[in-house]
Amino acid sequence: MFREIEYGQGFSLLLAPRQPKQNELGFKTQYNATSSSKNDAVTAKGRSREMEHGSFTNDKDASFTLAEEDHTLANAVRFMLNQDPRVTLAGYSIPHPSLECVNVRVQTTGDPAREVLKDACQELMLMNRHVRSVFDKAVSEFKVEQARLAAEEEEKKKAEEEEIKKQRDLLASMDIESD
Amino acid sequence: MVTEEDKIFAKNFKIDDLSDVPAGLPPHLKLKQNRVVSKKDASVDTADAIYSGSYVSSGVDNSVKLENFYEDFKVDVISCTETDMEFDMIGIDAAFANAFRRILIAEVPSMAIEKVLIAYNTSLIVDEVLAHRIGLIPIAADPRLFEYLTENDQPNEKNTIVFKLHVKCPKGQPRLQVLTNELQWLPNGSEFLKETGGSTSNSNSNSKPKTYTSFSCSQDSLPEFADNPITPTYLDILIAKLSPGQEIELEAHAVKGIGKTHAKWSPVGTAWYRMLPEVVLLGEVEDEKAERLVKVCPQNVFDIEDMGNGRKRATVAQPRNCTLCKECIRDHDLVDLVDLRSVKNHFIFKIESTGSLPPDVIFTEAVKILEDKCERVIADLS
Repeated sequence: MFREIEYGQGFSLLLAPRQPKQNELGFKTQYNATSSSKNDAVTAKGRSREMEHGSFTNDKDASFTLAEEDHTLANAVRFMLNQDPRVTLAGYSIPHPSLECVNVRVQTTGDPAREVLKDACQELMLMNRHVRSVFDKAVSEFKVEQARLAAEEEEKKKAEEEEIKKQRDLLASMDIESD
Repeated sequence: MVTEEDKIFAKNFKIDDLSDVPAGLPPHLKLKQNRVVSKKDASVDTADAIYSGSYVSSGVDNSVKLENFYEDFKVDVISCTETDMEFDMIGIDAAFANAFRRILIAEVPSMAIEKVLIAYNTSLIVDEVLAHRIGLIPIAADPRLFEYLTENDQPNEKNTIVFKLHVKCPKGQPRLQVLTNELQWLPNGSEFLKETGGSTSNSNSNSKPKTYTSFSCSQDSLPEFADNPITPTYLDILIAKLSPGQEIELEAHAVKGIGKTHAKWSPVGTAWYRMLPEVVLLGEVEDEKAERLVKVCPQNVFDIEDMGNGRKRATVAQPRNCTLCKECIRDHDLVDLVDLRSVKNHFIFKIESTGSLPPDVIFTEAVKILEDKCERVIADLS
């Protein structure tokens, strides 16, 4: 199944989902992104959502093009990739600020680059979940503490008011007596 | 002869237990790794690329494993109100803090007015300027209850909020200010009729006339809006001023969007973070120097401590207030005594919400959005 799609400055590429295309130097360009229910294989502008540029024989070094992404995700993924001991080089670049896409370069010590990138994204997801749970817990604890302090303040105020009332009554009764 | 004691000793022996074997990085390298030092002319050691093999020659593993992250990560909430929030995130890297900040500003959705249908406008404010101003008004509606309105959808009660503004300044009255409290919510949808060109006999002449929205049920009937009508967050924002005889009649349709498309959809007034400042006195600052140091700091970071014998010493009292203005290291004799550092993995976040969502909910949504991005990339790669 082939689709012809406009790409960037008037180039048109024949997209064969999941069939890698070989160029003159023997490097492959594989267009991925199957249409899952969450996202289309192709972005709104008709560009493939993710591409891998690598080599047929050696899949431990590859560049990935992620469409519709920017520094937000790319820097975080680059950090997670750097943490992985299997990675020898990890970096990202943004070819042009007007084009919404990011190139991520991964070079590993033997594992396929795509697997390493997937693992990094997976760990990123887990870290985010942890951040969310810790944050929610901290906020709810804070709110409970606030409520408790507010209740204490209320009680203190009430006690003070009662004291003042008592003193006033005492004075009033003393005045009556003296009269 | 190897005794039992020796065997047990050998089994439990760890080389790190020896007192003279260095564990981890030497302290000066640890400082370089953990702190940004602000010198008089520039900051030093700002590089953050934490490559797992950076210190391989020293035998130190630099990777931040997930288990260590689970142990070390902490959040301290300093203050949290309906509109503002200040909290500390400890144990996280700048890449994430920046990702959260970018998502808070640009990718958490909110509701804002997109289409303004102007029926009558004789005010001094030109149509498009008036529409632009109305678009920037923050609306107190939870965007999670609404769906996006795409090109193919009809505006209905699930993706649109309709407001009406009809103000006339009567003749003989002084000049009138049109504030946001004049924006009335229409839970039943648009009231402006669409003109149908030439209705035929079999067209639905006895059904409801077509308006610009197709609400199938009133938004009033939804439990979230039954008792609290949708209004702008602040009811005293000035939209326009009318002189006697001028009138504005318009309808405004609000839809869901993200800050990337237009800043009116940004749910935060702003969101920013700074690293925790650390002020260290590298030597004794005494008497006259101490007085000068305390006086020169605009944020009252330093304090005087009496040492007895009438001698005084400067101490660091509130390092958190430091804004790294570097006033304290301007003088040539104080520059070697004060070290201004920032802790690289301790971020003080401040989030100011415009009212659509409370700030802690906005942050949770931002983290969810980053998770969704990762999921998308993983799905694309598999």
